[in-house]
Amino acid sequence: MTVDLAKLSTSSRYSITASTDQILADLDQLEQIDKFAEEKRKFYGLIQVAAWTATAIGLIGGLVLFDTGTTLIPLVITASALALVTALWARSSLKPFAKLDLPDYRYLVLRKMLQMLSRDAGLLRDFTVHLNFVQPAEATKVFPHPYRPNWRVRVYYDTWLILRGKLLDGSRFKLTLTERSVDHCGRNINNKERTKPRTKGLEIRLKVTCPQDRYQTLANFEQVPPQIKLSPGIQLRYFRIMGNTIRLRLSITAWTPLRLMAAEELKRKLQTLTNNQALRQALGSVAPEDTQQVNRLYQGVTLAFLNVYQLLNLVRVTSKQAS
Amino acid sequence: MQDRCDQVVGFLFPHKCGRIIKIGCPYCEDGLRNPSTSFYRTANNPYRTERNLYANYGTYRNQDWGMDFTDADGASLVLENYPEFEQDLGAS
Repeated sequence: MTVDLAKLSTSSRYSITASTDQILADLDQLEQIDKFAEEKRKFYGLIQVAAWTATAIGLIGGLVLFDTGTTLIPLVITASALALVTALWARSSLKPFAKLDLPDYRYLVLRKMLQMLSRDAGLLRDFTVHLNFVQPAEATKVFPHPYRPNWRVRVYYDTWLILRGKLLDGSRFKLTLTERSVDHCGRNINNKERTKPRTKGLEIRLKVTCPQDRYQTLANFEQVPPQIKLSPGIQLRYFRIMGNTIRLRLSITAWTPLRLMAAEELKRKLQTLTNNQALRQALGSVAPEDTQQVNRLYQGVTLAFLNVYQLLNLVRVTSKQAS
Repeated sequence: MQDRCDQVVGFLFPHKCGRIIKIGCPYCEDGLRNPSTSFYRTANNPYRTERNLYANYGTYRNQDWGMDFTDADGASLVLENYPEFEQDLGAS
């Protein structure tokens, strides 16, 4: 087990170069940590809500009873103070778990991808993983809005996964997943500050570098239009063969990035639950579990690899025939 | 030279398993062929749904690829002579 809990809670990153088995074991551990943190968060969140409610009831009760002058007043004040202390304690206990409540889809999709790739990587090959669990703190670039005066556009690129490895045919690959989103911000007609977030989809970038001897005829395919097959919802952004490298860029257009996920989740929960501010904060999880999202992303990545290897398999056979 | 597991496995490209010791090999299971891990599309291949993403993966028709390639799913597609297969790494 190589997951460093202290490091994970401070940086929210996981980086390693190791065998598939090792990484899969680590991902299992990450899942356990995430589940534990999620439970703790819910537990302390509920205590917090209950304690704040008790404090409020105590205060109101105290005010109501103040005029009557009963002997109950010191009791009510003590109970209210205790409830306040409990609420503050729950709040501080909740904090360390907030960072360990990881976005599930990020490690779930990596697990599926590794299981898929390990079939062609053999048992002894190492993979290099850089997995990031936090959303970007600052915008990648900021520029003035094209037509709205005094408005700005903030662009966010969140590259949360870089996966490198070598497959049995000797080719190296680098897979990068980037969530892209923009914020339009400025003041509206009532002079109120407004932020309008927009998703720009998730970008799957795959670079495959093939060994020269096995894929000699790859250059012959440089001018041939690629036969890219994609499923609905996935768009081709770039495809190019240069020397012995193939670069492919796909985009999943309808994708909610992690940065906007909490807001969407909150909105959804608000509709179903209540308008209570404290409950909103206590229960607003940043990591919604969404298997559909995991599957969509996994399909995109699988399609990227299948498209590249549909071509490479042909290149390999023609290279064999040529030599 | 010992008898190697020659079951064709893989997802992106077919390659031979190449284990020297067949006992405990997940692909050949001591000589008993296990089609669930085969490269080719079989009924109980666990990667069947992924294969469906790309219809006719591993076959190349004339109009699509500019060449008539009939033995695509035959033996020439199978990757051979990769380092693990050549070095005697055996079953691990």
